[in-house]
Amino acid sequence: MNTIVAEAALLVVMALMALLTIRTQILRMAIVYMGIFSLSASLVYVLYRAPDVAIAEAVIGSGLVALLYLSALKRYRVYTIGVVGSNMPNVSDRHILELERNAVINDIAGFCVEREREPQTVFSQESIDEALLNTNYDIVIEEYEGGIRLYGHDENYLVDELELLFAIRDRDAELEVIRFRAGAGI
Amino acid sequence: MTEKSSIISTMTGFLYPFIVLFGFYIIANGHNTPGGGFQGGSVIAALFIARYLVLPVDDFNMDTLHYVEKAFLVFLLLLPIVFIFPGLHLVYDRFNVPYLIAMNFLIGMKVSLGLTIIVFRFGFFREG
Repeated sequence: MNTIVAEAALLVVMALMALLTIRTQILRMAIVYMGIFSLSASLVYVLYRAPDVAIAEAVIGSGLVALLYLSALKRYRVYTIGVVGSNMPNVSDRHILELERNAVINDIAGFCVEREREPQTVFSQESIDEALLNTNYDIVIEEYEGGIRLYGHDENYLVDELELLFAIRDRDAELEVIRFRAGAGI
Repeated sequence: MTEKSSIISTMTGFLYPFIVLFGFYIIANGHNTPGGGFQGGSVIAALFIARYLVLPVDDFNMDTLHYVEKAFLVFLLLLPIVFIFPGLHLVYDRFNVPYLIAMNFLIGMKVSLGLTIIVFRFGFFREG
């Protein structure tokens, strides 16, 4: 009876951890969740009377694989900046050159370089709602009449530091940072 | 992982002998309890990986590790050829348990060296 309860609890934990792994925005947390998933899997193997497999799963699943993913994460460096605006009807090279000289984009790119990320800027004509729904930018910049809005995900920890950076410099009063949650829209 | 944490280094130093002991226990009792060469070898590999977490220094000679691993592979092939193929395991059957322990030991050493090489190659990989 106790075995059945423990097995059910461990299987529920496994399902929960698997869901959390794919739902979280912070990749480091996803690796930790995956380690917990492997550990519960190894306990389930013990309950299924396969202690051999359990030892291998515990060492490799939550030790080696977590470390390999962590060192891969250290090399994951591309930070995608999306620039959208419904008020850029004709995207021409001249316009893009003008945008690339934009102080805000340069600031964010410099910040990314500082944090050892490689900034990659994507210009697009879609509206902000489409950009947030369909694409996977790390941060979205929207230009409108007389100002700039930054959209960052609620759990993206670079956004907090960016907001702090702009608050300290206070160079652009028209700039506002908006956070959104996954799936909630604006 | 680059910044030093005294909690992790102290705890890893405390756990070092226990990891080694547990790994060799799993290898040595592999023939009649759960575990064996592969499991014990991966536990011993976890020791080197714990060292990488505490002290990410590339002071190993990778080529030596490769050569030692290949030497273990040769011994792993030689031992059955010498013991099993001539039928010695039927004549001297009191050596069967030592033979199993020796095979588990060789497999464990090979697995631990192999996993250590994989992780170190990956961890210290430099572009270009």
